[in-house]
Formats: sequence, C-alpha cells, structure tokens
Amino acid sequence: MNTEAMNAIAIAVIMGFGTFGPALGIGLIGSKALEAVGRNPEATDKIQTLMILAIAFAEAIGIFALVVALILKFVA
Amino acid sequence: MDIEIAIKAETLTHFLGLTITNSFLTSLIVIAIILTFAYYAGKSLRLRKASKTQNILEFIISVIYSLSLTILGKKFTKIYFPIIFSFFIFILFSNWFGLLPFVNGIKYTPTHQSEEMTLETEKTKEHSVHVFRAPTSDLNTTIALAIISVLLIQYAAIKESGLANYIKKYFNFKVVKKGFMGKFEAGINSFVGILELMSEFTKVIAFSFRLFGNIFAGEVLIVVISALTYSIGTLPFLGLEVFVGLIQAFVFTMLTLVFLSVSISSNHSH
Repeated sequence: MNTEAMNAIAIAVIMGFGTFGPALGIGLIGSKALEAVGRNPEATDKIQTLMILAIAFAEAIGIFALVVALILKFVA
Repeated sequence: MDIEIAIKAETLTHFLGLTITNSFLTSLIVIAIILTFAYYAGKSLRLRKASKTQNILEFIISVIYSLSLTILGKKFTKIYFPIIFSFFIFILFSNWFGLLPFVNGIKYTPTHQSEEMTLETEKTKEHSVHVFRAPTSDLNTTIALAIISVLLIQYAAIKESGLANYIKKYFNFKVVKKGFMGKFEAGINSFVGILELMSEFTKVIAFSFRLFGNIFAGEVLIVVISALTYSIGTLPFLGLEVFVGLIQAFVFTMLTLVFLSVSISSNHSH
C-alpha cells in the first residue's frame, strides 16, 4: 500500500488506541478521589494534591502516544 | 491552510562553534526576566506594610513552600527549597512564554545557506525561522531539566545516607538467610535492585517527555486552531494552555519533591 496512506492510518490508530488507557485511568483516579473526599471532607487538600500527582502520571502515558504521533506526522 | 511546525528547534546563528537555536535564545530571555524581576522584588521588602507585589510573591512562594514542608519536612526543605522553587518558576515562565502574542509572528530568514540543508528544493531555499520559541517545547531543555532533577535526587540520597547505603540500594547481593530460600531471596533482591536502577533512567524519560509533550502539543494546537478559525476562537485554547502550563510546572516540582523524599528516607527506615 501507499506509504503516505499507511503513515496517516498509523497516526490515527496511535492516537485512537493510545488515549484510551490514560482516559480510563484518569477517570478511575478521579472517581476514587471524589469518593474519598466524600467520606472525609476534612482531608480535601491532601487528597487533591495526591490526585493531581496520580493524574499527571497517568496522563504522561497518553502524552507518549501523542509524541509518537507528532513525530510520525512532522518528521516524515 | 499552510502550517509550518517544526519539532526540532531551528538554529538562528552559530557562535564560537556552538549552535544558537531559537529556544535557547528564548530561555536566555526567560532567565533575564526572572532575574530582573527577582532583583526588583527583593529591593524593597518590608515586614509590616508589604506592597501588593510583595504579597503576591509571598503567596506564590508560600504555596510551594508549604507543599515541600508537607512532603519533605522542615529540615530538608531548608536545604532543597531554592532549587525546587527554581524549577517551578523557570518551567512556569518558559511554558507561558510560548503563549505571548508575538512569539509566532516574528520570523527571520537566514541569509546564508546552512550546511544541514543538503536536499534543497525550491521551497526550502527561502526558509524563514521563528525567532522565539517556548524553551520547554524543545526536547533538549526538558531532557536537561529532567537530568538535573534526577541527579539532584541521587545527590540527596548519597549525601543523606552515605555512598555505601546508596550502592546497596541498587546492587543487593547479600545472602541473609541460610539455605535455598536465602539464595532465592538474594536473587530476587538483586533483580529488584537492577529494576530500581532502570527506573531511575525511565524517570528521566518520563519527566522530559511529559513536559515536552504537553507544551509542544499545546503549541501545535494553538497553531492549528488559529489557522482554522478567527482569533476569538483561539481564546479558550489559550486559556487551556495557560492552565496546562501551570499544572505541568506544578507537577514537575511535586514529582521532584516526592522522589526526593522517597530517596532520602528510604535508607533511614531499613
């Protein structure tokens, strides 16, 4: 098949599959954090800090997929 | 729709054998801004009737200071707070610099042909280069920041618990218990030690690619959106990028703090 067509398909597939996991992960982290805040509203500050930390870890994996897609698109 | 996006930072000129890229120039400007700001802010500090600038700066510093107090504890905060706050403020200003209005507009056409352009078509002869570019949207800057952060963590571990303990964390070949279970456990411990060593290297990759990916993708997003719609339509995306820049600076700082606290205290508890 055409190289450019394969390139385009690869970019789309990378972003499609690559953001599925992190999105699910961030949703789970958020839901658990909200549940914990609901049980113990006094610890909101601590839970919020830890939640942001965990979300940054999960989001970084999605960013790895984005970087690969950008490299495929702009560096031939 | 004619969009030009470069992953690599483009070289502006050569200076004494070094290549000056546009992100390097911008990082020098960011450092100059931070130093000027710090100099003028520190000149008229007052204890009782603080000016508005002083209040704002105290608020910013106190956010990071209280965060590092909760994670590191008072004794280590006094030692490591300056570099932690330097990370935060440098990454914050670098991220936000790429959102200023003139950054994508000012271009510079190099008058001489550089040696890298060997395959020249009609288009690349008149290749104009952006003069400014957010420093953290260049992979070089983010890898440098990540290496400094990981080296700081290793330095803290060596300084607080000595070189022998530090090497024992990674290369753990001692057989403690007798018999087969002892050797099995020693094998597992050595494998875990090698994995810890590898995870230090993946920390560099994770730090640098998280920051680079977020800021570079933000730049690409702004360029694409501003090629698609009116300038009012880019306003929500600029707001998103402001927020993302702040969050990424904060996350870098907080991850450095957390790894620092883990590496300092991991040898005390054994």
